Amino acid sequence: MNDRLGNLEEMVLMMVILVNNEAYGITVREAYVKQYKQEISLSAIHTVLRRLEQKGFLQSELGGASTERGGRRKRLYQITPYGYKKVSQNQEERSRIWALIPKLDF
Amino acid sequence: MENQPLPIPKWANRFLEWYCPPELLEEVQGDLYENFQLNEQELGLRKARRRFAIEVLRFCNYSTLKGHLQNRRPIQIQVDMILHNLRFIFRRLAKQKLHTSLHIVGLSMGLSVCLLIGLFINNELSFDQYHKKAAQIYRVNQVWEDNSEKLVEYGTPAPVPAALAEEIPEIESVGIAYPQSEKIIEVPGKERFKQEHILMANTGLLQMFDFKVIKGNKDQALEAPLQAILSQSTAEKFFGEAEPMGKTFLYKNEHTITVTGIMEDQPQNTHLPAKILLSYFPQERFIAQNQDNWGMTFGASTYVLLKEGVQAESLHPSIRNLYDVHINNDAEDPEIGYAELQALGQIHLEPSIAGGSRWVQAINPVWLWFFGGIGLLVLILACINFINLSTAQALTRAKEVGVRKAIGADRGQLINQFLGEAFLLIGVSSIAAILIAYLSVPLVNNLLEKGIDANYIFTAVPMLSFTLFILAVGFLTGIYPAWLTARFQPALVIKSSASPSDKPSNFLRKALVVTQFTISGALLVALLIMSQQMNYFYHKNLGFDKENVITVRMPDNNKNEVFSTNIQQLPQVEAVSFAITAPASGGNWTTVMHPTSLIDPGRKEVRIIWADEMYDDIYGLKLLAGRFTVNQDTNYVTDVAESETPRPQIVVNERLIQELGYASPEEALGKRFLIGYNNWKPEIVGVIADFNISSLREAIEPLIITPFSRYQNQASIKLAAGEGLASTLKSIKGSWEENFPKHIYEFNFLDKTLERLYETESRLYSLFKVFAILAILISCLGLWGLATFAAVQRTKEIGIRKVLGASLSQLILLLSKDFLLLVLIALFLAVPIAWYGMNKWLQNFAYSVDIQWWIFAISGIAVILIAFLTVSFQSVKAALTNPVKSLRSE
Repeated sequence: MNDRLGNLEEMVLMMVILVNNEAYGITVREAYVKQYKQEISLSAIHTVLRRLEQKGFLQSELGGASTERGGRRKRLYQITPYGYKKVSQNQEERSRIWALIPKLDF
Repeated sequence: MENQPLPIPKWANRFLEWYCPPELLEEVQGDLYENFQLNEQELGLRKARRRFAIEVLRFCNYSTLKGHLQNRRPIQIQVDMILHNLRFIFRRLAKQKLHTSLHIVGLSMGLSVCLLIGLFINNELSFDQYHKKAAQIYRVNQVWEDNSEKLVEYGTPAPVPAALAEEIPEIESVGIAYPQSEKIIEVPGKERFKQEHILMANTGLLQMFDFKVIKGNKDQALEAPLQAILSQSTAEKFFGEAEPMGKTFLYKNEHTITVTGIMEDQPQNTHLPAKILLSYFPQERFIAQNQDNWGMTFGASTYVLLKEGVQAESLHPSIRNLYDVHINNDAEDPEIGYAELQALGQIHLEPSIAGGSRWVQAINPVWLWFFGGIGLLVLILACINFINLSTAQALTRAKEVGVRKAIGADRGQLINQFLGEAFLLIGVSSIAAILIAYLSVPLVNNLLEKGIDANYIFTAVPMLSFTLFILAVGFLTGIYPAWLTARFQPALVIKSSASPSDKPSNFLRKALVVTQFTISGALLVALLIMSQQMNYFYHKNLGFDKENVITVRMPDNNKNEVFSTNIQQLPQVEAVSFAITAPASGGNWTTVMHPTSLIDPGRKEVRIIWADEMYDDIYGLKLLAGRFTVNQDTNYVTDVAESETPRPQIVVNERLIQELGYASPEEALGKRFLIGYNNWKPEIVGVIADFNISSLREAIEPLIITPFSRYQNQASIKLAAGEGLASTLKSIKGSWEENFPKHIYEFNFLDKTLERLYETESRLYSLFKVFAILAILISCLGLWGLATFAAVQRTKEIGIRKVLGASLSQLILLLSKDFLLLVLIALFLAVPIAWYGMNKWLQNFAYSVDIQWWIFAISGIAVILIAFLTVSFQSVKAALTNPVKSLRSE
């Protein structure tokens, strides 16, 4: 299985961690828009979430129907330990490399 | 949980529900609803609705849709399913033999008609296309323009080929083709015979076209006078098994020709089907044409091969210049000549240019469209049958569908099953169609005198296109019945014994029956009107007697008198006349006339028939005023002094009197006018009633009849009817052969000659007849099938009615009236269509029948009768069934 974590995937994955317990399409998008200050479509969020789950970084379950949703349940996503490990490894790696880069003064 | 629905765009929601895999639908739809409500609060309803629609469209992506792919069943199950379906289909088709054979017979008839028409059209369009350089070869057509009248010939004046080759650099090579009429050939050691399709040609022509020379040198075979290339079959005919190269034969009793080459027989789709190529040397005595005369053509055609990339039209100005230098320099003469280039591929498709070519009559593309249309109509009829029979059948399969659905088949599977069934039927039909077409190609060839190669069907291009065509037809005709059948609700059809509602397909079926019978009705009307017109061609009073007249060519008209004296002693010979031609069979001369000046723009065309004084007796021409000519009328013409205008005495027709503006035949007597022949100013001594001087396609034109013995080389012999005709004909032949020992005797009955004028129409008419009858048959087949199902469906109803005392005729009426109503509606639609189409067709002919109302009445009654017989065959059977049988089982 492909274990690469793409840039957009990483951005979305972090939003799932950020939102924590209530992570599904709408909330993840909200967080994304708020944090990164850029628009994204709901379908793109769904696509990425499904892909992340398929790669094992996320797990999900159906739950929490509500009236606004016309009685439809939402798919709630949660980070897996593997996913968390992957994203924190990425961050460490980045900090390490950043430390190696000479600080330039423009 | 669901309270009042959200104000979202319904279509978008429905679209989402349609495309989204069920396992994703809940979460996606939920998110979209929630999002919509958020948007509604923030942005307002309108924007929220728009956002919703956009989001729905965005969700329709691969990530969402791939769920469909993953849901597919394992392959083994699919294979099992297909096998199961196939077994089921076979069982079903075998059980319902009537239904199956109706399908197959109807479709294979329709498809084979289409295939045959396709072959025919393809063959006509393929003429001359097989030459490798076809795209760059053009024929030079001579145009004579006089005021606004334009006459186009496919021959060119003798100096044209050389001038083109020298003066126009864009022309790569020039070929000359001079088709000959039948000529007498004598092969040493054999009897004389007449040989047709002798083509005088030069080396340029030989190299331009794909004549496949298999023996001899292509560059030299035609380079010297009196040399010939024979086709293989001709060589065999001449010399049998012996080696033909270097052998000689005698041409026209005097020229010894040497065989210098052998070529393969040409394919049938050429406008120059030469059997012998004879070297073209205009200096030779047997051509004897004035080589410097730019002012007339004599039968030889010029072909040019253009250099690559040269547009034909771009050469027209320089060709025009060439002519201007040589002939258009007479300011007095309003007639100008020039030439146009005609693409090789067009020669067979433009009959307006003097019929197309000398040996092969060009076909009017209108006929090709016409037959293409017929093919399409027949196909539509066959497809309608298929749809109608299948939808009618669908009802009887409601239970099957119900059970299948109940045990888990989805709609897609059912559609596949029924579509598969349709394709199986169509596949079998198309194989049958190919066989039928293959076997009937010889019949079509016979009918049309064509040489379509039946094996062509089995080559790649037609096979491939036919397969694609079949797939398209199969899909179009199969999909609706399949969809309809698969739609039944299982709970409804299993529970109730009643048939499911059949409203939409019922309406469609009715509409299709109407379409079918509109087409059939219109075809029947067309058929009747065409047959009337054909009959009219053969039997219209042409204004002269054509019965019991034979015509014989005189190779030398110095012997006219001897021959005439000889045969007039025979008891059954009533009269003999010598003329250039018989009435209405072509061959007359054309020139211009005017009362005072031949270069006046108001000059008119006039025909001349050179004929002796017996002409009016033989053909029973009706004299209106004056007298008929006597042989002396033009005898003194040659004796007049040079200063004098010749004053031959002539007989003219009524039409001429009108054209020149004389009030009555009597008034025209003694008047003189100019004609464009030898500076003549003839005097009218008699006026005859109009008679047809050419085919009925053309109107009667002004005509002059006067004797001129030099051109009177056809004998018309009037015979008395009765016994002994055969021996009289034999004696005439004997007398002719005595006079012309070196020639071959041939005679024609005039009425047969005239019938041959309409050969094209007659051939195409017979083909149309076959197709139209097939079309009507196919329609009836469909109607019969429908009637059968209607009767089966109403078995119980009929049983009950019978028990209650309904009579046989009441029952038949009950079962037939629905169909007859449809046929009646169809007839009302067919009448205007047929009237319009046939009116157009009849306009092609100067003389045509009027379209009469009773034609429509007869066709209407015929169609109703046919339909009634078709339907009642089944109705009677249903009505005669013993009610005990039909009511016993429930």
